[in-house]
Parts: sequence; C-alpha cells; structure tokens
Amino acid sequence: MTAVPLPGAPAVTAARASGSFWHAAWYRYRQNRLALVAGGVAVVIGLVAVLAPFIAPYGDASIDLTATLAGASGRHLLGTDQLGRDTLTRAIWGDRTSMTIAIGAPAIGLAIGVPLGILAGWFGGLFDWFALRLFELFTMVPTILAALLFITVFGVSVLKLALFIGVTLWVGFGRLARAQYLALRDRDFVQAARAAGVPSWRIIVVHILPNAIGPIIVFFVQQVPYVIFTAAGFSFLGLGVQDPLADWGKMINDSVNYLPLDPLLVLVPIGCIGLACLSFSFLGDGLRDALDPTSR
Amino acid sequence: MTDELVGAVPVVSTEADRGGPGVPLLEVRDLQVSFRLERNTIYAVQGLSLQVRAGERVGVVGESGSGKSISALSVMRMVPSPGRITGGEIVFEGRDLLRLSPAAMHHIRGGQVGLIPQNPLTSLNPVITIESHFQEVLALHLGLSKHQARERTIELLRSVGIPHPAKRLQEYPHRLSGGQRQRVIIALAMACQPRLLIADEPTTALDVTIQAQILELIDDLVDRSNLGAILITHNLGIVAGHCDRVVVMYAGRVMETATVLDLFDHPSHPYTVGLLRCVPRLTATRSRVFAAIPGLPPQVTKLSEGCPFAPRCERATDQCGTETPPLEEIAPGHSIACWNPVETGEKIAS
Repeated sequence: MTAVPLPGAPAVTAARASGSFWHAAWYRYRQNRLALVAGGVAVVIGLVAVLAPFIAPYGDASIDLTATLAGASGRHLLGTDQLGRDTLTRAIWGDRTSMTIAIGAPAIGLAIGVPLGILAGWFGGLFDWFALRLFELFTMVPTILAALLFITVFGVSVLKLALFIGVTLWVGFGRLARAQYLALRDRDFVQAARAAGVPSWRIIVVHILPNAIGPIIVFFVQQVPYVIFTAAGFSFLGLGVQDPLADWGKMINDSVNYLPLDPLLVLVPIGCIGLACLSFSFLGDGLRDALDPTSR
Repeated sequence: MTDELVGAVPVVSTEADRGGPGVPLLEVRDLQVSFRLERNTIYAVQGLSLQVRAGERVGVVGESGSGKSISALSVMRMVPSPGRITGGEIVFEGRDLLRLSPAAMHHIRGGQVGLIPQNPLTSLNPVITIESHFQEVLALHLGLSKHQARERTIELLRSVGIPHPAKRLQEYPHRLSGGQRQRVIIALAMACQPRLLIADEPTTALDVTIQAQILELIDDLVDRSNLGAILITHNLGIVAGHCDRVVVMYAGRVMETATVLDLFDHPSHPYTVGLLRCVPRLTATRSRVFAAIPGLPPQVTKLSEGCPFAPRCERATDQCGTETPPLEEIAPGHSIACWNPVETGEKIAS
C-alpha cells in the first residue's frame, strides 16, 4: 500500500474498521473503556438472570427456619432474612425478576410505539396529525398514577408489571421513530430507491429501518435503568412483585425493619439495583456514542 | 373518467408500431405541474411537450427553478408533495403513465425507466452493500435469484468500468469514491435494461475529469442499448457534446427546441441567445466581463398572459407582455415560442 490516499477516501475511523456500519460502531464502542466494562457487567447481569436456577445455591423460595437472620457465614455467604431465605439466592432470583421487567417493559413500549411512529413519519398528513395528538394525550397521563391504576384494576404479576410500565413508555419510542422516519424519508437514497421501483413497505423495512435502528436501540437501553428503578419502587411500596417471588425492591421492603440486625439484608439489593442501573446507563451512553456519533 | 375507475390502460399505439422508427419512445404532451402552498400556487411546469426517440439523447436546459427537474420527476410520477401533475399526458411506449395503477408504475420505475439521480454521494443507502442494491432491483423487476443476480451485477459493474467488480460486491457505499459511486448508480439504473434513461444533472457533484468519463459512459450505454435518454443540465457544454436534441426551458415553459446543431448555429429565441452568450470562452480577451442575463427567473405564482421572459428580454415589445407566444415550428425540427425571434444571420455576439 502506498501512502497516497485514494480520492474520496473515507474518514480514518471508518477506514480502519472494515466495511459495515456495525463494524465501525463496534470500533467506536471499543474506544470507550467505561462503556466496555459496563457492557461486560450488563452481560453478566443478563446471564445470571437467565441461569438463576443453576447458579443459585438454594431454591428460590426455600425457607430455613433454623437459620433466620443468620448473618454471613460459610453456609449463607450473604446471610439470611427473617424467614431463613438465603440472601444471595434471593438476589440472584431477584435479578431474574428485575431483568424480565427491565427488558420486557421497553420491549412492549417499542412494539407499540415504533410501528405507530414509523407510519406517522412515513405517511405524514392526517395520520401524522392523529398520531401526534395521541402522543400528546398520553404524555399528559402521569406514569406512576397510570401504573397504579392498572395494578389496582388488573392485579399484579411480573409480566403484568412489565406491561403496565411498558404501556407508559411507548410515547417516547413513537416520537423517536417518527422523527427518524421524517428525517430519512426525503433523503436521496430513499428517493433513489423509489425511482428504482422499490415498493413502500420494502423502503420502510429494508432501506430506512437499518438507518433508524441505532437511536432506537440506544433509547431502549437507556430505558432499562429507569424501569429497574420504577419496578423496584413499586415493589418497595408493596404494589409490585408478590411473595414468594424474589425482587430487589421487595427485598428492601421486607428487610428494612431488620436493618439494625443485619445491614447486608438491605445493602445487597441496593447494591444490585445500583450496579444494574449504572451498568445499563453507561452501556446506553456508549451505544449512543457508537451508533449515533453525530449526536455527541 | 371511467377508464381511471376501472384502472384500464388506454393503448394509444398498437404493438406493431411500438418503438418503430417514427414513433417516439416517450412523448410528453402539454404537461402541467403545480405546487399548491398555503398562500399561493406555484405553476412549476406549464404545458411542457417533448419527444424522445429510441437511441436519441435529449438535453433539457434551463436555469435553476425553470422546472426541468420537476419535469423529469413527473415522468417517474414522483413529484414531491405538495406538487401535483394537473394536466397533460406522458405516453411511454404507447401507454399513458399518468393513468397507470400504482402497482404498474412500480414496474415502470427502475424496470422500464431508469433514473440517474443528481447526487451520487448520497443516493446509495449507507447501510446496504453494493450487491444488495443490485439484488433488490434485479429480483423485483427480473425475478433473478441471488446467484443469477450476482453474476449480472459483476457484469454490470464491469460494463461501467469499476475495476475488480467481484471484490466490490460486499463493500459499503462509503468505501467508494464519488466517481465510482456515480458509476455504480448508473449501473443500477441500467440493471433491468430500461428503455429510457433519465439523468438529472448527473455530473454536478463530480469534478471535471470524472464528469467527462461519466458522460462518455452514458453516451456509450445509449448507443449500445439503443436507449432513449433525457439529460437534464444547466451546462450548455454538456449539451453540445452529448445530446442530439435540446429543449430550452424557462419558467416552466419550453422556449426553444431544436437539434443541437441548429440550436448552436441558429439560436432563435432571445433567451437561448442570451444563454449562449453567457458561456465563457477561452479565446476572449482578458478584460472582457462575463456576460449575464440581467434579472432572475420568476417564480410563477399566477397564470398570466404574456411571455415569461419578457421582463428580462431586450427585444420585448408590448405584445410580449400581453399575449403568450405559442410554440411554433420555424424550420423542420426547430420550434420556438417567441414573437420577435432573432433572425438567422443577425449578429448575436456582443
């Protein structure tokens, strides 16, 4: 290779990463140490959630009344609660519950919001007008109160909680998808695709979606810490996950009275919530810089 | 009206004379396009008529805003909102495109009519490989399998002069230079063997040496495949070198249409004369100031009588301000819309 650059050679970062957008994004992501570590932690948190039945030392609801509030020991590494349930086991199973909600709720928000936003942005006109009014209407509804209402009316389970929180998240996804499609709709390559006879649905799915997906993924990941906090908040209030299921928020609620006896009972779930929120926040920031470099 | 309701396609010419020597490939008759804005309406194209025969390259020239790009988009039925085609006919191979169903139009776009867009740098999708661009149109219009499409893509890329085409298939557009991207776009427009090629200022974004190569490539493709081509440009040099006939547009109207030779030898419309006078010449003396037509082209917001060029025309008379000159043939194949044409032999150089 000679040192003479080719005419119109792409920027250095793009040239070093071979080929595709995703390669370039991975290259940019790798540059960010904090995001790299946070991403690793997030992956571990996810794996623990998936593998909970195999790695937890005890059954998720197994009670050992001979060892209540036993404190940290060789048998119970992080101690036990007032019913003799192993804290480490509860934290691991709580991870599973929290992650189900934390991933499920934005997924539901995405499933409702993105298609609506796409249609509004692509077709515009009257459809867009109605979609915008719908966004405004739902923006006025206070999130917590709406979820509380759903819980009182329909009862609660892990999936219902994900659904209730997800329903309050869709407006953000809708607005984002609409803005993306509105901006991309008139780009030259979209016009070129139309001129090549590509039908609208293919343009929406094949040509625009890959260009719009970056910010949507970033938004998704950024919602995760928010949902973890919200779900933990509901559980702490006793409106979230019910016994015998484990959940970080509920662990705090259950144990707060025993704080003077064994601080670990409260510190472990708080640590878990903190770690999960931080890692997903930094992961989200790293992804934003990698997938959407212009937004910095 | 019933035709439109049933979705039937009126056949203007029979199968036998389709594409015959006398019958034009594309005939635009009295095309009207307007943009309805909140406060007023802009009449972008008013009564454009032009013909393109197979193997013929027609240049459409005019200043910015003269309606030349909108006319090209009209043929594809892709006038951007809020613009609408309000009248006229666009007959392509015997079928009026303005009456086709949207599904049939998808087949025309890319399949029968290829468009080379203005900006090669942004007209390829940044997240799709070169091969996928071709695969898509080849599957859509010709129903080719992945394997067949790959072979044809390599062949197409070679025909537009991309070196090592097989190695380029998996590349993303940002890895190619501007000139190469324009070549890819031309190959893409040619992929499904269209009958008509529309090039909307295909070289404005490229530097001069690449421009010449790209234009020669288009010439070559037109000759080889006996295509009809519409070349939209504001560069009279391109018209002189790469077109057979010229249509000069101003304010959405045709001012003059002639063969390239006629137009450059006997320009008859004062606007054409003015345009030609604006072309800088290497032989001119140093002190000479660049010639220009004073004033700006109008944005036509109301339909009024009179020649649209009259306010800037040095030959304008009272008649020019009150009556619209019709497009009339002054010699075989040479038509102008002017009340006071410049006579042949009249001195035009300043």
